[in-house]
Amino acid sequence: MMTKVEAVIQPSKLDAVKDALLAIGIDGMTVLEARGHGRQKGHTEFYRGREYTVDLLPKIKIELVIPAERTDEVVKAITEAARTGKIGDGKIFLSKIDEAIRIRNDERGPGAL
Amino acid sequence: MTNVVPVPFNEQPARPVAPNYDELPMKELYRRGSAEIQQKFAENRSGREAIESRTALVDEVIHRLWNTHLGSSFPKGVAVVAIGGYGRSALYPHSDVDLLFLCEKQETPELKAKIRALCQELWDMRMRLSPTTKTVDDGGRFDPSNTESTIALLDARYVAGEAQLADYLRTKIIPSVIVRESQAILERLIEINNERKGKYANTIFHLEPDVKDCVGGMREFHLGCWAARIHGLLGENVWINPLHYVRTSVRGQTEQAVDFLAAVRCFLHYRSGRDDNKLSWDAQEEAAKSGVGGEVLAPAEWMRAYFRNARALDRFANQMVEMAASQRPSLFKQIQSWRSRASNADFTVVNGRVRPQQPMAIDDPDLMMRSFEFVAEHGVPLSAAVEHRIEENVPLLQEQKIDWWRYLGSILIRPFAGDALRGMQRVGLLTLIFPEFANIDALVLRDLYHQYTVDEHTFLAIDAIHRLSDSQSDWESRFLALLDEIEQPELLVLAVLLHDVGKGTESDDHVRTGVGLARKQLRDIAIDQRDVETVCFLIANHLEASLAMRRDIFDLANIRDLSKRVGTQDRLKMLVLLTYADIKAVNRHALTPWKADNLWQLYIATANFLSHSVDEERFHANAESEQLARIRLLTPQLGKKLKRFLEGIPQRYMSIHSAEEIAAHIEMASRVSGNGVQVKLNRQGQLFLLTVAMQDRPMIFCNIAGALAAWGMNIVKADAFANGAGMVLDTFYFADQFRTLELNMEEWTRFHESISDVLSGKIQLETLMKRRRAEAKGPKATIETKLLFDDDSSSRSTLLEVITPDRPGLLYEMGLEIAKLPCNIEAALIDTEGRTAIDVFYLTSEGKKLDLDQKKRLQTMIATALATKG
Repeated sequence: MMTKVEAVIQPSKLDAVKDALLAIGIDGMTVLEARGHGRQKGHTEFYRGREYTVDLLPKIKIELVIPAERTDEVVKAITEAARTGKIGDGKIFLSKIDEAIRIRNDERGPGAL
Repeated sequence: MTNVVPVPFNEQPARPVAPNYDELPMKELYRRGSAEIQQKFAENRSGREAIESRTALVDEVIHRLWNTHLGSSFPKGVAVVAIGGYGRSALYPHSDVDLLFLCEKQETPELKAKIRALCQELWDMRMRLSPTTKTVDDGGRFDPSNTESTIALLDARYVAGEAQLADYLRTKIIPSVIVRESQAILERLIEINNERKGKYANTIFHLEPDVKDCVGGMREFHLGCWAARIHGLLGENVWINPLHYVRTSVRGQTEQAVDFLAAVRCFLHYRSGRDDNKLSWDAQEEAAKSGVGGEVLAPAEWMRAYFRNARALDRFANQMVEMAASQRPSLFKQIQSWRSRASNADFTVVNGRVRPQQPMAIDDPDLMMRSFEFVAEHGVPLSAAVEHRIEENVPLLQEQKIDWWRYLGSILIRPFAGDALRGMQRVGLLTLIFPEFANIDALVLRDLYHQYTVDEHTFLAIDAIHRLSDSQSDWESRFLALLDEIEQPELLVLAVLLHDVGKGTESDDHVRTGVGLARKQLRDIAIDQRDVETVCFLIANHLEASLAMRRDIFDLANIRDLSKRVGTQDRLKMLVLLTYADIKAVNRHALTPWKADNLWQLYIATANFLSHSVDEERFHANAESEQLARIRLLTPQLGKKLKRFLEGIPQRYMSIHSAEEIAAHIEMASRVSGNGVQVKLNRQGQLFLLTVAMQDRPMIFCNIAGALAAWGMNIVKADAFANGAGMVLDTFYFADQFRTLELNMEEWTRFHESISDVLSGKIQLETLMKRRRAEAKGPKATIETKLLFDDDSSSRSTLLEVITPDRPGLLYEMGLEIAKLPCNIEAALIDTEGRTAIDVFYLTSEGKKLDLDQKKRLQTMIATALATKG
């Protein structure tokens, strides 16, 4: 079994999260530049009389697929590295993955990760 | 043109003799011969020898097969001609072998069968053969839809069969079709070339370049050779050795580049066992480690050599195409878009290339530099001949005293500054002015992020600044607005030019080293000291905004740090634009809209912090700083007055004034006695600067603004500060729209006196206002007036930000309403951008922030005043 981990974090925490995952031997991931908000709503800036509403805040989304038995330690590594304790720290979503296939050699299952 | 020696086409370079394996079967001969060539290449790494040896080997095989299959049956009427790379005697280990069977007449079934048998044997040897059969008449026929087949004939070389027939093709048929169809052939050649370059984004710089087809790849050499041969046939009807058309220095560079790339390409073919020309990341490391193309080098240094050679081939090809196309001027519209009929008294644009009106005059350094100014303005390159002439003269300039900044400053602000700087680099002028630039020439930062060499990255960053005006996207046009507001854009571009020079040293800290190098170089070209400081500030901080973006861009501490670092709005704008350009020039995808928007948010937050935190951050004279030490050095006579003056003054005051200016202000303040006023008037470029020092009292700011309005002066920028002891130091930059001061020196004294008199109460402002000059009419701006109150940014004052159409007397009118409330202006930041006034007032009433009622009243009063008089 495998788990897909999707973590939405503060951009400033990307390096810390990458380092934390590397420290537990996870070195493959997809990083996406994203915008969004949860309970942490945006704010409005005025600049020269113009209103700039920042309702979608810059975020980084990390995606990785891991063997299911490593889920807890990966989640722990991400939360500890990304946490500031303030609103807007982000979220982690977990889902089950049926199969992984390495295109180069057709290898399947956790070995393809 | 010198050094042009026409040589007969059939004078091929001497080739190594193929190994003699008389007794061996053909297949084995080819296999052993190929293995020996590979072995030899592994030993000596000579690509040229390998490709010529393979050509000789294939020649030998074809000779034998000819004798076996056709020689006895067809002693006349058929010839085997090599074309493509084989024709050029440059057969790479796994390249196709292009063969033309040239027949006097249409091929008979017997001939067809024998040719097929010959080809079959070659295929059986696993040779990648591309055969074509043509009659001599076919060779002379031009097919517009297949121009490539005619271009291929430019490489034709006799291999076997009837030599006279092949000679007839070379001496009669090909010259005839080339001369007759030169326009179409050149057009197609340029078109194919543009398509190829477009596929590689028109740059030689790729992380994993294709050494055959990439810009600067071996194809450039072929293109240059084809163009040169067409030129030779058109002009003198002779086959020309293309390298004889170029000067000795360029010829040497071209030959060296061909040797280097030939070795690399052979290495790649042998490495992968196929026709693979991609110089992958791993291949770069292996090639560098085994000294392909020269000596064993670190991968980054080896890639530096690759890019220098690619640049040489690109230059060769461009020169040859320019030369060939000069016989067909209409082709220039294809080489580059015709930008203008931009001729002037000194320069003319002929066939899309800049030439001086007096060719020999280019030896004059003044005209030489102005030629690059012309390139920077129009984006049209110098002709190859002019570039060569300048290149030869550059060493002679070393001993001359030239005011480089006078020209360079003018080049940097022009739209095609990047092109002009690339040209200056090619001829050695850029390194003559900035010797340290040589250290970053073709310097490779070998990672998967930096696509370009450091010098090209620098030029692209300059392009990024100037191309902002072409931008179609909203997020880029915001940055364009900042560029328009910078007071000295040439300093920004100069900082971009020098921001990475530190990377060319062994230092671990390229920023700190870069500042040191830049300071020395700027001193050498005699730039004003204040400007040197601005450029060095930008270089020293060019990574700071990027670092701030890696933290939380909405975090107040982060914003405060960046604000402290930049100090002024102008420096912030320059730093943001430098960051924008620096990121954009890393690779084609580095500046995503996401990142650009984050940079913009960071800018807004910092700009707002700078204008909204003036009275929060105050200077304490006891805190030692470099600036304080410098002021003390400049004014040793002031002693304790220095600390008295600076204590409690807003930090922004310290940021926007140099140590020299502050020293002068302290001198002024020290002369203020009682109710006295010290006034100083200076000219600063297009504007005048009025500085006033006096003890605080009501209406000072309003009275100065009113007095300036009465004189018809238009206030562009102003800052009002007071220290802890109530000493006011106000500065007003204004435009003399009626040229009163500019044309009448005696008016300076009267102006000076009238400001002093208004401030000391000797005359009433109203008296002066009655003499107010008629206002200059300007285009009416459609800018909506906005008044915004902010009680959060300052712990002591209420901020009032006013955005409104600018007009003479505006500041006085607003100041009057503020005074009427009554409330006190603790600090003021007055700015004008285009026809918009952007003013921030720090207001208190009886030492406190304004209450709700006061804010409402003030809003109504100012809005009414602006609506009535606007």
